[in-house]
Amino acid sequence: MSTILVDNLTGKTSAGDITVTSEGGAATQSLQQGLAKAWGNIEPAATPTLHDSLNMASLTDHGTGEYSTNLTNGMSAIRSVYHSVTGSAQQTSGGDASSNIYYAGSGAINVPTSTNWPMRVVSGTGGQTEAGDYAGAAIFGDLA
Amino acid sequence: MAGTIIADTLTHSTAGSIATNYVVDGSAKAWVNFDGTGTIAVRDSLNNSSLTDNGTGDYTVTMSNAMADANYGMSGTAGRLANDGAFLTNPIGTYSNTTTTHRIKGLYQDGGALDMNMMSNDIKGDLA
Repeated sequence: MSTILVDNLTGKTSAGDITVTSEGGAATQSLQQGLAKAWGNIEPAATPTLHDSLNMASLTDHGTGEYSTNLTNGMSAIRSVYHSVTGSAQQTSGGDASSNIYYAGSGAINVPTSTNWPMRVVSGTGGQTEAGDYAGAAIFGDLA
Repeated sequence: MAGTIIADTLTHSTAGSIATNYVVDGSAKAWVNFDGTGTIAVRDSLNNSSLTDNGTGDYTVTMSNAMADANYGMSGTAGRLANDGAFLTNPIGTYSNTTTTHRIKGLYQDGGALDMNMMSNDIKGDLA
């Protein structure tokens, strides 16, 4: 077994591109492109709270079940709406069904930027906005 | 000439260690952001070769490099420019994933399928 003691990994040929071999050995893939650039365990209810996170500095509350994630290190500004944001949510109180998370693209709070992405918790049964008890989100794409 | 390092563990001076299998296994093997309205168009992606429009809100995502099997994890979100409802993504129940393809769907708040302006999807699991 070998261990590398290192604080930073930088590609040699291209600084932002380190290649890793797939589990099955049949393919190679960019390490940087496969890594989530931010993720958060979020309690959306009342004042949104970050319980654990990577590269998420804070949340901004936009009303019941609506909030936006504020990143510490921004995504590529040129491609601010191009990164992939995935997630899930849950509503446990009141015997409600589980919810899903989504983002929209219009309105003052709904325009993604390089550091801010609007998200919303919605009911899994009726589609209405809910406060939610839990939400998770992950962002993939290019950091600035 | 590019160098190659073979190692089982990466150790940071202050932030701890991680086994390199977590780096490889824990990375997304594919992700895509696309516009699902009109002529569907990929905005940015990793390991995505094409998209197929199967009808309203119904898309097949095809990967360039195959997964080891079809039992990979999927997650996603969907949104429309009109802020007028709830939008979900979900696997298509009657469709079986393959090592290179899976289907996702955008749903309106009434549960009906709807074309989405913002579709995001990522895949975790083992590449072949």
